[in-house]
Amino acid sequence: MSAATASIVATTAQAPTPLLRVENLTKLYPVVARGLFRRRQTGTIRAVDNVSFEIAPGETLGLVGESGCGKTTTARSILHLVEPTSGRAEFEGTDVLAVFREGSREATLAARRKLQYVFQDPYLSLNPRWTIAQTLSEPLRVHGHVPRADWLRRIYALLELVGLDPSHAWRYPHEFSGGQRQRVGIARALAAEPRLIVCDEPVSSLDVSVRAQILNLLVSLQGELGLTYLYISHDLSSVRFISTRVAVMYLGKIVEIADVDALFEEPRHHYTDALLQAIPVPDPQARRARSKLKGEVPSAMNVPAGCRFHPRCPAALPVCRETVPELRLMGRNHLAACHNPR
Amino acid sequence: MHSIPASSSSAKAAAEARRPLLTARGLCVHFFGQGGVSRAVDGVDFEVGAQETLGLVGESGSGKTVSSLALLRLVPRPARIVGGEIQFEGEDLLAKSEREMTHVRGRRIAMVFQNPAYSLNPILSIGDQLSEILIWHEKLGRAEARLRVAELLSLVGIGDATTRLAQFPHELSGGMKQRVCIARALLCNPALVLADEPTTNLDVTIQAQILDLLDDLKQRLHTSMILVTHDMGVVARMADRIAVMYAGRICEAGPAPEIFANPQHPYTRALLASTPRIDQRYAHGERAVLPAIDGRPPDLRAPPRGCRFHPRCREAMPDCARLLPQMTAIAPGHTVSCLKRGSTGSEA
Repeated sequence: MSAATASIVATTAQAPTPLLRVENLTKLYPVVARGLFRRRQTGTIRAVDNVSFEIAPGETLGLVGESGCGKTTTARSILHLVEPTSGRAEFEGTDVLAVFREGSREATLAARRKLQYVFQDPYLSLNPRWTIAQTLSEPLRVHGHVPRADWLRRIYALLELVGLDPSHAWRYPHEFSGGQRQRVGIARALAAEPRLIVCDEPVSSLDVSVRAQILNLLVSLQGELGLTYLYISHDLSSVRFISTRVAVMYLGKIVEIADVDALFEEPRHHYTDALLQAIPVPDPQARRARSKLKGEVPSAMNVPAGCRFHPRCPAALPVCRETVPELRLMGRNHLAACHNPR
Repeated sequence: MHSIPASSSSAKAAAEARRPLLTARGLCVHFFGQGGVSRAVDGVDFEVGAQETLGLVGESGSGKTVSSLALLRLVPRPARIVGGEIQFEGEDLLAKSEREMTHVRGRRIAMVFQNPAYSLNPILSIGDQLSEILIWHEKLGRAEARLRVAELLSLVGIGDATTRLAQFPHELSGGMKQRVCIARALLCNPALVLADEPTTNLDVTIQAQILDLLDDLKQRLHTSMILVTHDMGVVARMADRIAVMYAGRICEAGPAPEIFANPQHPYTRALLASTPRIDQRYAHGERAVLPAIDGRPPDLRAPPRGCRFHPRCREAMPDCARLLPQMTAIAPGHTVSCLKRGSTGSEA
């Protein structure tokens, strides 16, 4: 296990040292039956199961998968928004999970400042009773990296950076459209001057024409500020646009991870292929083959033995039912966990 | 310019298909809210041929859902249908009494809603709530109705249909629930099914299964369909004809291949261009820019004068702010409402 992980880490290591290195991250949730007098654990949900990956500075790693596959839990575990069961997350060489767990307040804040989060739903992630100026000054107050006299100037600069008008600082969230609220969410993340931003479905609740505006904003901010993104989405077309590398998750495990064009053009894992085939392309001439994938994603409480995808896989071998496939190198920078790759 | 069907039999079939099952003309639905009158649907024309699938595309607030609800006269308060006519199977639906409408709803025109979890009754078993429809509309006996329900459930790919009859909605997955909703829509063998974002809440692999199912059923049961969606990929996959809506009006309508290969309205073009595609390579770094549409859709309580898209339009000219463009045919079956594309404009 650890040898396999070590080899993965060695093979994916790119020229610059990774900004974030996640090793064997696992998050289990107990399933509890509540009796009259006592609670009894009846099972375990393996939400994230031994996930390892790296993100190089300046790149965008897309993390994709269907609902319940563990992509959000992975991101939240890295930021210690949920406590991971085990595993390491190394950011700029320090184990941030250890810092979040038992570090001093100063060390924790310093780590938090560098790792920020943009949430899916801009309606729920902004305090409705705070003006935008209050929302944006909160990170400035907590981290204390900007003298108080400069707060207002900084807030105006942040609003302009995300394409809003400085006069918007005195409005409340309900006065904004969805796209504008998401811009505020991004400005709040930027206020801490982070190095890595986790974008968790940042455009899923937005309309098509506004979605393109926010995607363009994320790209231009990345160039301007040298940001690194972990971009989580179930929408593969936006992932194709914004990511430089993509990891595909299925039932708590990464099944494939590769550079964006390689993954979309030559997927090696059958799940990745089925996922791509399932997406309707805006071109009536490209009538696709019928979906190859039968059935639904099994419950994470009761994962199939061997390869988790084998009950739905069109190319399953007997070995798939018994042995869990490890990620292995299948091309340049291309890892897939499959006994019988495409 | 356009290929004409070669054989006479296919020409006849095409003529048959062209005779509309449903025609909406000048449909207007306004919301009479406290902040003023919101013109959610403002003079919409479309038709659906027999066995045809019409894709009604647009962003949220464009009026696509309200238009489809108006066909069943189910627009929610404070909205009212304030104008237009809806011809369906030779009758004017807007002239019918409320009582007569109940014989249309669910029987001749059925609906599949976006969120299957909300559109099923949580305290009735699947068998009970589906057979109720047959008992009411078709005056079937209980046992007979259950038999037909079981038949429909297996038709929509629900295995072991008889056990499912006794189950409740919460015992089914999202995809299964949507299959039940599709079965419910088809119970009385309707002429037209309205599907409002039927796959938006589902995962992509389940979405693909449901789209395959809808395709199959359409072929087998010869049903017409209006598919309401914001997803250009879904309409490309499903629709024969497409109507693109913006701010309560249709800006372009035509055969699906034509709309995708040769979009004419600046909004249609911008919508297609601003959607990232999985089958396209993108540059990375500073050069990566999606052609987004600036601004946002207008407030329908005070829509812009003239063409409603003109404040966001790259091609707008002075007249666009003054004249309201009318739908004009630019090719057989392809209509567009844009002054730049030769539409006539009217004051007001």
